[in-house]
Amino acid sequence: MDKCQIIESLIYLTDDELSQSEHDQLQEHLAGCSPCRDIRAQVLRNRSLLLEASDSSLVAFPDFSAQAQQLARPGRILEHPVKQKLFRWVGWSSAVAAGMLLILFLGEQAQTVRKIATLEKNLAGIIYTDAPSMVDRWALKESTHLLEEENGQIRPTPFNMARINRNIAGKPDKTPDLSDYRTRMLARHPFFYNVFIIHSKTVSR
Amino acid sequence: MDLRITDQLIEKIGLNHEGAFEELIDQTQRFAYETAYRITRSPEDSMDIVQEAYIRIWKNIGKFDSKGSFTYWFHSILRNLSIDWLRKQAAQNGSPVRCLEIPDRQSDESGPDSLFEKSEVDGLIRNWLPRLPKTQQKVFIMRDLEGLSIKEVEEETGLSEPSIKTNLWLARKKLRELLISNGYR
Repeated sequence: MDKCQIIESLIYLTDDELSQSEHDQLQEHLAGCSPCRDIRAQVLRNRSLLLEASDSSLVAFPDFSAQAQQLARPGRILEHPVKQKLFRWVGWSSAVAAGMLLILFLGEQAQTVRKIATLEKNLAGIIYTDAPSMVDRWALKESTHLLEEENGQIRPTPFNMARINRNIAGKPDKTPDLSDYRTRMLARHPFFYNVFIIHSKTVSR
Repeated sequence: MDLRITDQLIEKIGLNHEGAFEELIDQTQRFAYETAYRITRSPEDSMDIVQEAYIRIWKNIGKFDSKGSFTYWFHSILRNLSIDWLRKQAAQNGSPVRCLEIPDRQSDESGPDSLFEKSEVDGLIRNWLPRLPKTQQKVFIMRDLEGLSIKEVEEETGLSEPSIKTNLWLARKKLRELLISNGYR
């Protein structure tokens, strides 16, 4: 390995970065090596120019007092333009998304209310017009969950007809049938369940 | 380099005491701005970086280990944000030197002292900095842009003196090669 390669690491270091022995070793080499002298001169010039160019005192120091007040205030709105844009974007998109979800939710709930109200109305018709006696009315009312809507008609499914007949015969069958319309609706809308109970109580009065 | 931020002030900020954060900004804003400016050389972006640094301090003050030095912590946040900014700039500009005009030094009438005042060279160096390995980058910035002493670099980075020297000469050698390959002698 030639002498220049051995000394290379020292050429790139400033005097205050070299130990005394490294300094002496470097000076001895530089005295007899013109290319290494050129490199060192270049390195030292680059460094001093870099430091000089990075001197921030050449630029007016901006006043941060307005930002300081903003930052120091709890619940502040950030002045940073990117953050501000992001904040606005996130804020608006969240509001729109939340609004859409609310509309969908309310729409579905309203549809359920309407369907169940129709069921109740038609059921009342069955109870008060078709059922011959109070016992039968009670039995039919207890059979509400066995009815379902098909093509706008409220009627029991063939399977549930047997259960309704058992109710009419005085052997109430209160086993919930998860396949029936109302139970399915209530299972899908637990939030609505309480409203429905109140609604049912009002209707039954 | 010591900002002399007391533990009491840090504690007050953590407890959200009124005026505590303003006091911190009052005491550190010049240091913060100068640190960012030395790396970015852009006054507007330095202001953004300083703001972002204060936001980070605000959010993470609870995680700050009071046994450590606030100055070093703050300094490293500022330096990392500035390097990130340089990296983003380099990515926006495409390849590191593509957008830069490479002047012919022989025909350049201005003296050698104006070399680093040239926006081309500034852009060249600031595109090159983010590509350096992390340790070389850190050591180079602290020594050749911020002018810190070897002892200060040693204390802040925790690196040994021989390691600092090795990283320095490698970074400076790369800088010299970069300048030569772009027509600067």
